[in-house]
Amino acid sequence: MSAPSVPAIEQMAGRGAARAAARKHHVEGGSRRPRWLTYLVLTIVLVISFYPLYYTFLLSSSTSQNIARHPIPSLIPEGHFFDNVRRVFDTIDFWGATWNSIVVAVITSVSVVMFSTLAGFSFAKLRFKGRGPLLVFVIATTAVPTQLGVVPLFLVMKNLHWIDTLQAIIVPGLVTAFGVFWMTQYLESALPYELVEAARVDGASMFRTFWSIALPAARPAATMLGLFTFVASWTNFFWPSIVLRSSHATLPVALSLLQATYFKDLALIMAGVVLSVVPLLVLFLIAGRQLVAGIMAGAVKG
Amino acid sequence: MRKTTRKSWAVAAGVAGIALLATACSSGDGDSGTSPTSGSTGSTEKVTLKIQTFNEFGYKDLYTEYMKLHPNVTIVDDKADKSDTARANVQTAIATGTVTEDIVAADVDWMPELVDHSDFFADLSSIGGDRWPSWKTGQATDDAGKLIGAGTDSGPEAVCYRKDLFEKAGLPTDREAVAQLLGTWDDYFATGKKFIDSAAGKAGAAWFDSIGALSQGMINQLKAPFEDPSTQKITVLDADSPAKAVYDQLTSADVLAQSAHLGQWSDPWNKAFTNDVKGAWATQLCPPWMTQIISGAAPDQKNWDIAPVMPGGASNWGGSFLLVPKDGKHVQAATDLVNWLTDPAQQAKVFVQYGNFPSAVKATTDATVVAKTDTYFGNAPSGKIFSDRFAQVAFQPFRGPNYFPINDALGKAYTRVDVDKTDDAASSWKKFETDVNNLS
Amino acid sequence: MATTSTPSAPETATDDEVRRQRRRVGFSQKLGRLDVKVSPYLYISPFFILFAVVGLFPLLYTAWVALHQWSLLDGEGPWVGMENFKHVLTQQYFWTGVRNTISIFLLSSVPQVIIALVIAAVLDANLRARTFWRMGVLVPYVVAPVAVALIFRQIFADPTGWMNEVLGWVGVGPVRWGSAVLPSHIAIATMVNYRWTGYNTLIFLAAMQAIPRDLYEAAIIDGASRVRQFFSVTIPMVRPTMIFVIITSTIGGLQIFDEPRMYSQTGDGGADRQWMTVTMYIYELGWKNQNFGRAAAVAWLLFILILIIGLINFAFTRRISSESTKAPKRKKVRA
Repeated sequence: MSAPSVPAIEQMAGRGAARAAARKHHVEGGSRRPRWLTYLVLTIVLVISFYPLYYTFLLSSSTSQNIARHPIPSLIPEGHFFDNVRRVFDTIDFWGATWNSIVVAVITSVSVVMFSTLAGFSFAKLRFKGRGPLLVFVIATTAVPTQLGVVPLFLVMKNLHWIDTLQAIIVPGLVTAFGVFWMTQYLESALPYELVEAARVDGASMFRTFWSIALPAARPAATMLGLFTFVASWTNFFWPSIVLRSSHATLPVALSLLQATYFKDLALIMAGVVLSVVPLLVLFLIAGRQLVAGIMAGAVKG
Repeated sequence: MRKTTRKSWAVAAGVAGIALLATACSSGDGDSGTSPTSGSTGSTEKVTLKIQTFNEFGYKDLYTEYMKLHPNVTIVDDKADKSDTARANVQTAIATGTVTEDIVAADVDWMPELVDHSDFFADLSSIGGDRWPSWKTGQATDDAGKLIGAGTDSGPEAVCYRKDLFEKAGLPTDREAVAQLLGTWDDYFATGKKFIDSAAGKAGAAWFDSIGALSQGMINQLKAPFEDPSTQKITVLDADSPAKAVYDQLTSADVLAQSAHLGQWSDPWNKAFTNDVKGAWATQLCPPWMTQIISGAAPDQKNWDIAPVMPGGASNWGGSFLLVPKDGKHVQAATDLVNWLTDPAQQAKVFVQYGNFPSAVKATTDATVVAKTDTYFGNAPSGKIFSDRFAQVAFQPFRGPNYFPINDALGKAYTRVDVDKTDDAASSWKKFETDVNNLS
Repeated sequence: MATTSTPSAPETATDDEVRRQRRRVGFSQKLGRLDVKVSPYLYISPFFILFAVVGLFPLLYTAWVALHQWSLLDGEGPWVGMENFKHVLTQQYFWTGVRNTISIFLLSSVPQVIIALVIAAVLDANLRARTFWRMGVLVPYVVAPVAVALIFRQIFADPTGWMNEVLGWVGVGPVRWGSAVLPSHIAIATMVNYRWTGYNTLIFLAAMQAIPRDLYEAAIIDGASRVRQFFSVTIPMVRPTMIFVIITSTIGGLQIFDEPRMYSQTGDGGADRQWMTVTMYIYELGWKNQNFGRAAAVAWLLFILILIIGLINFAFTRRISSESTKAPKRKKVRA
């Protein structure tokens, strides 16, 4: 499909489509390079972002005694890191918990992205009765506090015989109101109705339209949603701590066991924290470029 | 570009689908899948037992040993991080009628609510209640005489003290001599005043960590601190309540001046064990498990010792039980394990290795137990000291269904006055009254 | 695409005409219309089905519980109507919880949104090593709340901790992070901000990236400074996203639980409830005091509070971010 010029699009299909086309033609770079002040601000921001994590690493390389004596550790790690890591592995089933966390996080993110995009597409681009109130209802559901639901949810899980299984964690998280809200909001502005209508005119079914038009358009936001959901699932603590026992624990629950002895061995606990962050940092390295590319690419690829 | 996008979506959906299936198929392991065997002993039948403990019961090696002795039994260690977490888990289980563990451990402080729901638990009388002193079994027996808990450890109290600070204050440092100084609470506080006025006190050392800590010891010496034993009515707010008398004494200015103002279990308290003089404290009410906390928090501190005394007479702080939910899949096998774990022989082993003091009478007089000395505490004969203290415990305070929340609220009342300093004694007690009134 | 041999209608063939031209009517036509009518409901149904089980059922169950005297262990007691609600509303601790929750919420959400906007604007520029900077701001989000709490407890340890040491260098006395009301709120809000600012930054960044560059160029030609561009172009164009972020952080912020709970070892929100939030109060009523009925009442009150504050926020945000450029109306596909 060759692209007519932006003004031509405006003539034919209205301003919305013109804006979308303009985004397509958006040229990166060319604007003036930012000054040193920008980089300074960013450096400060990043130092603030990273320091607590580095501080954790410093603590995990130390011993409880030293931590008590020196609240601000020196910037050079003390070298007990691998000792503490070994003790973490001795105390809890780290690999088992990590595997559980991976399974839960992967399934949850993929599912949330699929179902949220599906629902977002409907709310954003399709007109149906009750659309407005239903969307408001979706948003309102996020106002329901989790603590509220714990006992009834536990009852549901018990009746399904899902106590202490991973399904109990996965199933409640298969699609989230946040995800639906997020994709709706994104597709609202990123998917020009003209494209959808064009597909309809061509005789495509609703699902075909979704699959071929909406999904690709949603890719940047979907990637972001997937990443956010993955991290949220990875770090989720409250509900898993109630419904899982240590045999099927996810990583945060397993790590809380590091505090289980009579005294708090801070170095050990911090080593556990560092270990739990590493897989996510690896994920960042892999998916980071994808994500940023997605954000930069804008809406529809030609 | 489009094609790869669609393909990658398809792949992702496929992966998720397969993973979901895999999870569904793989879960459900962990129990043997055999029909309920609550009746038979099934000595050769494969059984998996899940047991939930908290903090450190010292059972790791015992599990290995038991599994060697009984090859058909697999023990799964389901530790919870704290007593509160374990309590929440057991409560959820009772509230929803679900059994997730074959054996659960419970702290004495929340035993009353479990005894109140003794239907949920199996009868452990077959183990033989005379293994323990009556004050211990009393905490795990319901009105009908059913024993639901097997006692694990106990907490007979002695006084741990810092030799170097005593010396700096011109006080004797020998164990027996220290014991002479602290026989009654009046003696304790009088010595405390001497300490505060001495060079050590002036250098910033305190006499004890917090009045909340002392309260634990003193409450455990009262027969009915919070509730009426016959009616279970809450009496702590009555004018003549013994708990109020304790409160008034502890929140007096003289006593507060001897406090280090550090709430027990808080981060600053943990850290402060490493202090030399300033911010340190000279005495600590010590049940055996406290000795592990001290040595863990300050491994380099060489000056702690244990005095064979408890102001006001014997006191027991803490102690736990093992219970077996009645609707578990392997009640008999679980009871057998509980029987073995709480056997005097095993309890003695745990003490020698981990420091949790036994509650089985025979174990407390066992030769290995009595002979134990503690290198951290200046080679004090900790086994003998605690054994003697244990023998002196005659009773435990009455614990009704509201004991735990009341004790918790009382602790907060002390913290407000001593540690956070948000209230004076009177206003803090008023808030305590509101808390207690809210319980009914 | 018409496949019949009849002459195709002129360029603007409508659905109806195309269909009329096909000899086959009936089933496929009906299917087509059914497809369009039913699909929307079908597509949004996964969420609603799941929600019915996981969200609605607990919500209604809790409403039922709130109207009874209900002990956690003993189960359902007698009907007491609004008694639980009345009792809870007259409790000092409930209002303390509300005070704490709103205080922590304001201390966290307001700086978060502002800082996120600013950093996103900075990241929006044509930077070197874009990926590094942009992923870098998300690093805090990766650290679990439990871990963040542990870390910041060390930082805000009182009397001696990292923060107090540093404050000591500039002569400010040790702040009682662990026992005073406002300092504890600041510490907890800092934890929350640390974790969520990067997240919101990326959300804003995505929205900003979608703003057509020619709007900025037009502004530059008109002589607008960067700051002016920020206020006149960027902010209005990310208005929907701002609304989204503010609503989600309002709802999330008012339910804050993990951070204040992990702030102290005992997890009770302070002996004088200095930092106990409403969700912590629910947990205390339900699990410590075992009064499930009252816990349910507080939960419902919180839910209503969130709805009210959410609506206020929504109205407020719309007003302050509406500018001269009106977003063009989006047309929807008609059934």
